[in-house]
Amino acid sequence: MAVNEKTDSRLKALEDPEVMASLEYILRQMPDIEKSLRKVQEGAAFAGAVLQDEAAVQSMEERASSYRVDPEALAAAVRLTNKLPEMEAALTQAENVLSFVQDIARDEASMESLKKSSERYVEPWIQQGKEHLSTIEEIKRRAEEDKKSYSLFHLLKWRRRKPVQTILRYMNASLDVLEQKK
Amino acid sequence: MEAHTKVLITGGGSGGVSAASRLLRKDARLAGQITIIDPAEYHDYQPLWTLVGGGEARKEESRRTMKSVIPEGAEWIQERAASFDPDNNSVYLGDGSRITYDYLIVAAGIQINWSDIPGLKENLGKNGVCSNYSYEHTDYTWELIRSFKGGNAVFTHPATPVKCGGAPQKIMYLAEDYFQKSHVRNKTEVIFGSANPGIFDVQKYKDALEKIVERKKIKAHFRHNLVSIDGEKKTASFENLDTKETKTFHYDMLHVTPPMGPPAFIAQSPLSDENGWLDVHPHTLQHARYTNIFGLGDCCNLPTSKTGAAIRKQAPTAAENLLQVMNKKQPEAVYDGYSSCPLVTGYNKLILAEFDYNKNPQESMPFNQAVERRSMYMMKKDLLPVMYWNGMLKGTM
Repeated sequence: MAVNEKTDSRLKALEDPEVMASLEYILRQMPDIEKSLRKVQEGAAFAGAVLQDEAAVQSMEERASSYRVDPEALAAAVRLTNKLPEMEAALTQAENVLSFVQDIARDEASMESLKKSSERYVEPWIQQGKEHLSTIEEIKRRAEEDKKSYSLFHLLKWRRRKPVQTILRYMNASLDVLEQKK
Repeated sequence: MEAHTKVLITGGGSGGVSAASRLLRKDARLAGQITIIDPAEYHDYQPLWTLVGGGEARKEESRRTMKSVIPEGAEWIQERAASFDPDNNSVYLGDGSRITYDYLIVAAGIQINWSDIPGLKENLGKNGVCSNYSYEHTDYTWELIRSFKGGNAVFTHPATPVKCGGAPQKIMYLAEDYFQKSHVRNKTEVIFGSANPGIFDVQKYKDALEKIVERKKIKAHFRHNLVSIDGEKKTASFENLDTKETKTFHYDMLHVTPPMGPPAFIAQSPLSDENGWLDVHPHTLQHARYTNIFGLGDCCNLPTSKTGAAIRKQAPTAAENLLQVMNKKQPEAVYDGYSSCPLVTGYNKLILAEFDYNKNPQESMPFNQAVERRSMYMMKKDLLPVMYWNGMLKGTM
């Protein structure tokens, strides 16, 4: 192809609106491209300067040799990387639980509601305990006040009372079981 | 007025707030770029209203200010959404202003249509007509139950989708239990007029509940839809959905579950399906036609029971998939239709129904959940509210 033909074909290509638009875009991006190139150049200059600085290179070598980066450590790092999704999920779950608990602790209304609920569930037990305690105290008081002396006649009279019968049944059962276990 | 936000959420209910919290927890860069619009002054934990109606909780415990539940990093605009223009990524508000968005989450809830039953609106809160579906009237339910002296106690379930499909029967079981305690049960007829064909959709729980209905001697009339109320005569008329005949009952107490439907501003928008519900993919929750829109909660056309528990499972899916779309990926998180209904069957008794799209039980406890249990009742009454306010709304549960 002659030089003129080549020039014609290039000029024709330049007349293509798409090519024109691309060139215009590239021209507009030139300041940014120039900035990027400058940064690359600066980076290369910095790397070159570091490599020429013997003291810096020596220090880096010493530091790298102190790390235990052997094949075993690298394999472990790969295994850990594989586990990262599971670890992330577990950590997120733990973080959620922690946030939930912290949020309850900060929320006066929820704390009050939980306090009331637990009081409601515990109250019957406390009440029952109090009743037992007052029964014991009453028994103790009466026993201390009682100065009578009891005879066999009293025991015969008590034997008809239901609690005494229950106690006797338990005593009888205990004796039977202990006899058999001998 | 015009404003722009990266993520716009219509609705500050359980769906909107938990989705916002999850987005902020997953991507801290979204702080200051999420806007929630909701006209309400208060945010209500509605599952508690059954227990309020049964005298087991105070209604004030179910309510907090909207301001207190909006997550840090999200902005709240106290205004209603009036219309959608999804082709221009815009939502118009009640005051005429427009908000444009990059991504939209629709979590607008369900609309209660009190006026659809003649006589309901004018008698609600008086003449023996109550409903646990209204914050204002939940304590009137308890007033009627505790002062009931005998007669007909009528409970209804409408022929529309409702939020918490178990609630209409939960209050009936509590009332029946209370009538036993107050020694009026032997002079009381408990009547359940339900438009549904049976007591529950999931066979395992249906079997258990049928036995409870039988044990409690409840007169159940299925395929019967409440069509009108006469407050002065104290009568409630039901249409038999199969024969079209009308049956009228005298009532001394009437608990109404009102008809519900999609919010009008969704039904009238390009976002709705042919029935007016938000048209979303059943598994990804992405809108069927607009890829930058997601939906969750009661306003969607998801074929599952509309419950808070369902929203708890939908929120992570919607948030995760929105973030994936934001990062130019395909939505991969999947919602399986999980829903749950803690069916209170009396004081200190509860059946915890959990199931999926296929109506298969999806139980999370290591025991048979179709058995009435006190532990599950304690969980509903004392633990679930705390889990809601401090876990679900914060995006951690």
